[in-house]
Amino acid sequence: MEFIEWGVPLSGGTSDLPPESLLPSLLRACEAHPDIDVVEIRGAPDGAQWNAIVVDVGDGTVAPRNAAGIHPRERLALVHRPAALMPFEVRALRSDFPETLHQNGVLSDEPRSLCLYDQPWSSLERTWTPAKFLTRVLQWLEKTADGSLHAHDQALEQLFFDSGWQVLLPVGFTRSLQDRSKTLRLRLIDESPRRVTLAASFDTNESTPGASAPIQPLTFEIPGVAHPPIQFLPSTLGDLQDRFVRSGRRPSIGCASWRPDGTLSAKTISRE
Amino acid sequence: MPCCYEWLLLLPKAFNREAKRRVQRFKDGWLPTDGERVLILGEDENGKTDDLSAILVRTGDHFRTINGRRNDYFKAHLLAPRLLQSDDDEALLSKNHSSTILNMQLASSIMHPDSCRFLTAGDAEVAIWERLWRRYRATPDVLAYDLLLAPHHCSWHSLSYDSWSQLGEDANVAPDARSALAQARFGAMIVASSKPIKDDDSDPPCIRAKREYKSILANHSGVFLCTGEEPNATSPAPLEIEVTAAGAKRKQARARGVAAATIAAAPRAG
Repeated sequence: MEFIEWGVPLSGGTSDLPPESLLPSLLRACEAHPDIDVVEIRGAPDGAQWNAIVVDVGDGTVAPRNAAGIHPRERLALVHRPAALMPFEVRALRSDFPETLHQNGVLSDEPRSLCLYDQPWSSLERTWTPAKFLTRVLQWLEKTADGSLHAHDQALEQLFFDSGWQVLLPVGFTRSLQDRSKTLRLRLIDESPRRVTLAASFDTNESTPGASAPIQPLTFEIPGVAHPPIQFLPSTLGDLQDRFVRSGRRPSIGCASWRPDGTLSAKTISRE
Repeated sequence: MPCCYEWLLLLPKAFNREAKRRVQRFKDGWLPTDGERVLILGEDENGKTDDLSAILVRTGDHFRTINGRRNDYFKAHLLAPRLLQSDDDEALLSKNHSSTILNMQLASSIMHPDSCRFLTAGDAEVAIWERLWRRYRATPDVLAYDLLLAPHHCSWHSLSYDSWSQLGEDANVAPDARSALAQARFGAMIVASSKPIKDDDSDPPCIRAKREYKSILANHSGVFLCTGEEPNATSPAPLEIEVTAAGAKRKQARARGVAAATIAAAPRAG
């Protein structure tokens, strides 16, 4: 079994953990837990951003050949980033840990990140304890393995990770696209460090104050997807095409068509 | 669960008396009905079972009957006791050499006949495991398991001839015995049916045996559990193992008191 060497071992071990943080109490909870073995303490290479307790975790509730690919015993890094919006995070260190529902977006060379909560830290903080956190980790593994992690009444996960950009489309957007006399424009209506919101509207004549230059949208219609794990946004149209091809889906595209060899033929689309 | 020594004191006489009564009923020609059935596991060294072949399972044989009826969800391989061989050290094998070792194959459905292998071995000690390894080292799948009941309540003497209480960390593992007990399949569970295992010189259960079993499981992503610690050491409760198409798993997560109740109210991942 191969594990990702993430971060660096702390030379002082537990003595390197900041005593004022919650990490020492989390370490004590790990050491007292019958289903958890502490492997080592690691930290960020630059020493300042995060520390992690590396543990082997398994309570027997994960069937070995589950469809999700979770192992009965997994090696995890329990990460503490004091300055992050969610200061406690769990990374799966097995190099072939599967892509599943309820994972956070990470860089391509980093371990996968388990998404444990649907609430912000500001709501969790008052009731968060190391013991409950460990219970949550075990529960994530158990329920992901048996396919019950996503609650029946819980909203479906979105197709892509949040890019921070949000565009509000006008009523009758698809129908209005067919009307060549109308021009689509975007207008900034809200901007914050984490989100930019634009409103789209169709203007018949002159642009309204504050609106953008005319926009030529490219629309895709694809067959319904079941409930896949959240994907990163494609960075190029070629990347988008590759994903459609990999998933076996042929979208109908607003101003383009597919060639028989599976490539896009629209003038406005190219892999370059 | 009572310690085996209590069972030795309380149960064998009554059990033996009942077994002998049922065998006699079989010899007298009575049809085996509920409450009268008996199955003898392993042939007698002195030929006492020679005329009982209809109710005898010879060591090495498979059987798939439960309560007298064939069950397609169950198949058991009787691995021990074995008759003494000429090259066996009788002194070594005299103690606990009659422990029954069964490797049971349990199906979760007709489509998944090999969902779980359950290896159970009574109080079998190190010499028995060495002999099993010598016999099956070329066909180790015979000893493969998804669920192992740690022999003799997680005793060190299933893995070693040395005394844990006297030698401590200097006690040596018998490699062949360990190999016989190390045929864990991926994600296997080893369960110690014992009181809580403490880090001291007790045996059984023995902390060193637990460590050895955990080292066996480490390469197979397996899990070690102790019935005396489930769900916690202060108020243990039955440990239920469920056989699913995906393999054997603990039926319910360990109870976690207030934390469990709180989380049960909001089991949502983000």
